[in-house]
Amino acid sequence: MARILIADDHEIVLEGIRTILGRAGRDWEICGEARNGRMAVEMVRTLKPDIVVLDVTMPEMSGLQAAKQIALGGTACRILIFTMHESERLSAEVRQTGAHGYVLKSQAARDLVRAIEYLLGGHTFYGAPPEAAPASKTNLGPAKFFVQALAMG
Amino acid sequence: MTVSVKSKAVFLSAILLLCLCAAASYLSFYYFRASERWVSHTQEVRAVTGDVEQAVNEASRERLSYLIGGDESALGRYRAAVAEVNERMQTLQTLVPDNSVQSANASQLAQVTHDRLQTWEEAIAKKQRGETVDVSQLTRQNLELAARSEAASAELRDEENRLLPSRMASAHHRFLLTSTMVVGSFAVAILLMLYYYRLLQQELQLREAAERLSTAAYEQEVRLRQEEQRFRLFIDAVKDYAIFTLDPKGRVSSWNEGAFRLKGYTADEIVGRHFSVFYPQEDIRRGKPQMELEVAKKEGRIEDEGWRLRKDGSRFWANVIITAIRDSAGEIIGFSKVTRDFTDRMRAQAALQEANINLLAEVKERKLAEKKLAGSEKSLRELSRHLLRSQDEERRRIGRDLHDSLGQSLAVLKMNLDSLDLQVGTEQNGTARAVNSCVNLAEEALREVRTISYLLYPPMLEEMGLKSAIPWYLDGFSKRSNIKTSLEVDPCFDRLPPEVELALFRILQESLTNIHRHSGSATAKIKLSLANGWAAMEITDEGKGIPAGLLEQSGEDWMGSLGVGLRGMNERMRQLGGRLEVSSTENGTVVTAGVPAEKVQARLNRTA
Repeated sequence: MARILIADDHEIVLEGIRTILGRAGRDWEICGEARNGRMAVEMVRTLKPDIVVLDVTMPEMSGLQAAKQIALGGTACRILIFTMHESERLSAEVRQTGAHGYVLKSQAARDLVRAIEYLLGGHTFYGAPPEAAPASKTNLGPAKFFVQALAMG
Repeated sequence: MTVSVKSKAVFLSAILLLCLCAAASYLSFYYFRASERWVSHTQEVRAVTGDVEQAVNEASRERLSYLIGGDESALGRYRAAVAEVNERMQTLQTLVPDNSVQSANASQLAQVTHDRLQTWEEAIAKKQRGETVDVSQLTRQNLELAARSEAASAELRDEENRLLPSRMASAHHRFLLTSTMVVGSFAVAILLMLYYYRLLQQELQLREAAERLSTAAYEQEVRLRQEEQRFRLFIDAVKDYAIFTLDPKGRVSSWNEGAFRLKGYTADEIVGRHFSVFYPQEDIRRGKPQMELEVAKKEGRIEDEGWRLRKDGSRFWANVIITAIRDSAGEIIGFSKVTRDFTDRMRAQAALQEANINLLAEVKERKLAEKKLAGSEKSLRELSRHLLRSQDEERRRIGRDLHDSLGQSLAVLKMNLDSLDLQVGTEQNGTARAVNSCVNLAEEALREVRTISYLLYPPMLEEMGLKSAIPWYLDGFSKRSNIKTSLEVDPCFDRLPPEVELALFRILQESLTNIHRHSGSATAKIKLSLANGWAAMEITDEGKGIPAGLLEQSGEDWMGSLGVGLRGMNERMRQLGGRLEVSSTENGTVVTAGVPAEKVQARLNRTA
């Protein structure tokens, strides 16, 4: 069973995420909900989720900054950016933070479940499934994820 | 010895020497003549001796002829010859007394001659007595005596010849001596004369120098007198100043034309009177005249301004300078007083003062007005700053609100619609189409909201900074405007204070809007740089440029939407201590916004 931490400062968005994930019928558990970036970083450290879904625009600390800190924190937690911002730049920005993928909020119904699956499977998801995910990337251990995160950040 | 005594002595000495010289020359001449005399003396002695002999021979002959012939005439001739002999003999005697030898010789000759004559007389006497005379015996006797006589004569002559050289040598010697004396004394006299001449020269020079000195002194005195005269004339000629002197007691002792003109008194009227007559009664009561003299005595001079009286009693405003005059010993010998009529000046000054006061009041008023103006300008600037800030704040709030609440709601709405769509997706009925259209509508609304919010407030600016926010913005701008944009960022260009980043971003937005609306350029180049502590953003287009005249107007007068925009940009930079430069040609425009990056933080801290 995968444990998921979700972070967004809007209750309605959290509600939406819960709905989508609940409807997906996977063996997933939402282990916590953070309302800002700082809280998200803290909860990743205490709850040790398998994956964290981060909104970008949040008070106190943005999702991108939180992603950076989480990636540098040395956890095995996978990081998925979940954002309203739609831009060709997003991919590069997200990669720079050390996050493993992003999903646009407008495409949540279509992509969120898929992206979580990809990330949990050791792959990345930058707005779309990886073109040709190398076999070696599958089933990576937590240590490898950290190294990869460092390399990307 | 003074020079004159000395010169006198020298002169007298020279004269004496010259006398000596004359005497010596006389002596010299005398001795020269003496040697000649000695020669003639010798000749004379010899001649007289010869004469004696001749006379003796004559007498001898006549005696003989008498003795032999008995001729009485012969006897007469004999007597004459004897007389001749005696006469000559006497002459000879007178010639030789200076020399003992010659005297002796002469006496010898005389003796012999006397002896001969005696024998002759005896023979004659015998004859006369008629006795016979033995002539031959007589002749023998006579021969002996004749021989002795001849010897004596020869002795005389020889001695005389012998004496001649020594006598001549002696005379010559004396001649030489006296000649030497002549030459010597003459030479010394000449030298003394020369010396005397020199002394005279010196004295002459001294006298000339003294004369010159006295002449110079005289001329100096004449000049001084002239100067004094001129000065007096000058003082008299001064008409605008009353210049006069006071004696130590304060009585007027001299008076010039100016004083007459100023005060009305003539010199005759005022000289000798006390100068307090020039002062008004109240000053005299306070003892002012005497006090001024005291101050002048003590301080050397006093300057005063105040009312004074003319002869006719009218007043004038006077500037007075009293100066103490002291003699060489430092004793006060009087005072000089210079008085000027300052009435006009005083009035002018009063008027000036009044004008000055008015001017000062005016200046004060103006300053107040200026201050007010500056205050209102300041409040205007503050207002504009406040407006910009509140505009930024408003935009940011609306942008955030749109993005956060409406945007999020729309996003979730779309999520839900998507889910619904997936559920009904396969069915081809009205519900499915309606759901599908709702999905599209929601997506469009979401995009619209996002675009508007991005324009209102740049996404990512606070989170990621200019380096990230600008590309995000450029992407959207390029899509909307079809203008190709490029961004060049210095590697060292990093985060700046939020206010600076926002200001630069707004300037970028404004510039790009201007490029889009006005320039017609197909491209826009943005460059971010950091150099010399200045963070700069340069926006270059290739459009037609800003119309001439718009830029030439001062920033305060820019008009129209472009002008307002530029003004806003300018104001933003000004608030941050930065600069905005716009240069435009027909080939494009370059907008450069620069901010002193290091100073900005401090400035913001201070104003915060």
